[in-house]
Amino acid sequence: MERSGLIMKILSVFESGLFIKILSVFISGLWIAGLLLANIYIIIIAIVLLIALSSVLYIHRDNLEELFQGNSNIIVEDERTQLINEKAATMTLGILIAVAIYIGIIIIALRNNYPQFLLAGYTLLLAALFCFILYFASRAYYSRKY
Amino acid sequence: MENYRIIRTIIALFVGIIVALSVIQESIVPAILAIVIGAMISYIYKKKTNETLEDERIVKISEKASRIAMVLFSISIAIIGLVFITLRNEYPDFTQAGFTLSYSAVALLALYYIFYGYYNKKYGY
Repeated sequence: MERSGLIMKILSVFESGLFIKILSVFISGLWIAGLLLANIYIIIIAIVLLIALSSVLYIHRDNLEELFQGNSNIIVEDERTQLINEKAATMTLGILIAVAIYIGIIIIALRNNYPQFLLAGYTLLLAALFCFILYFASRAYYSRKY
Repeated sequence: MENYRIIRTIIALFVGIIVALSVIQESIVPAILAIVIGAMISYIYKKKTNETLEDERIVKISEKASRIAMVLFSISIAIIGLVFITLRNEYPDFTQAGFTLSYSAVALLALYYIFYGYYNKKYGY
């Protein structure tokens, strides 16, 4: 009984706000280190830790304020901020997709003059396509939900 | 609403075909013209018609979808870009793609914060 209490205590450390903050800083450090050292394994560790951190935050999504108690910078979303977020996201996504497609087309059309940028053009078009797929998938999800 | 959807599909098809042809022909002018003409027709139809083009439910769904799509998209392109840049020694060909994706993620965040500031002012502070 005492042992399981100790284990629970140790496990609760991983869910404390301070630990999560330290872990976030550590993950950021890993991203930068991986990028500078050109080492994919560091990036993989960062991704795995990020997934673990996201799952903890997802589990505690309703009491994030308690988790980060004492930090006044944590924004708890109300209806107004939600509205602003959604409207800003709609505008951002629309403009980004349009600009990505236009720039992608221009770069690909000018491939004889600037062949060195061809990959960037294809990347932009593929990114726009990926964004479209994400948007329509989430739209289908919300259409079914509401 | 149904008419508008049909017209929008036709415009998208028209613009898509012209753009594809102009990319094959390596000429930029028809693509730009097609995009401008398509946008103009869509805008004029929207202005002239008396149909209900969007109801509140569709707007709400579209906004919610945009938000989640934007979050997933920004995380994905940032991570993929980072991976490509990190693998610059093994796959140097993809470094340009990595930088393109990373700059796109930065542009996305910058745009988002600009619009966030704009709507924040509009709806309150």
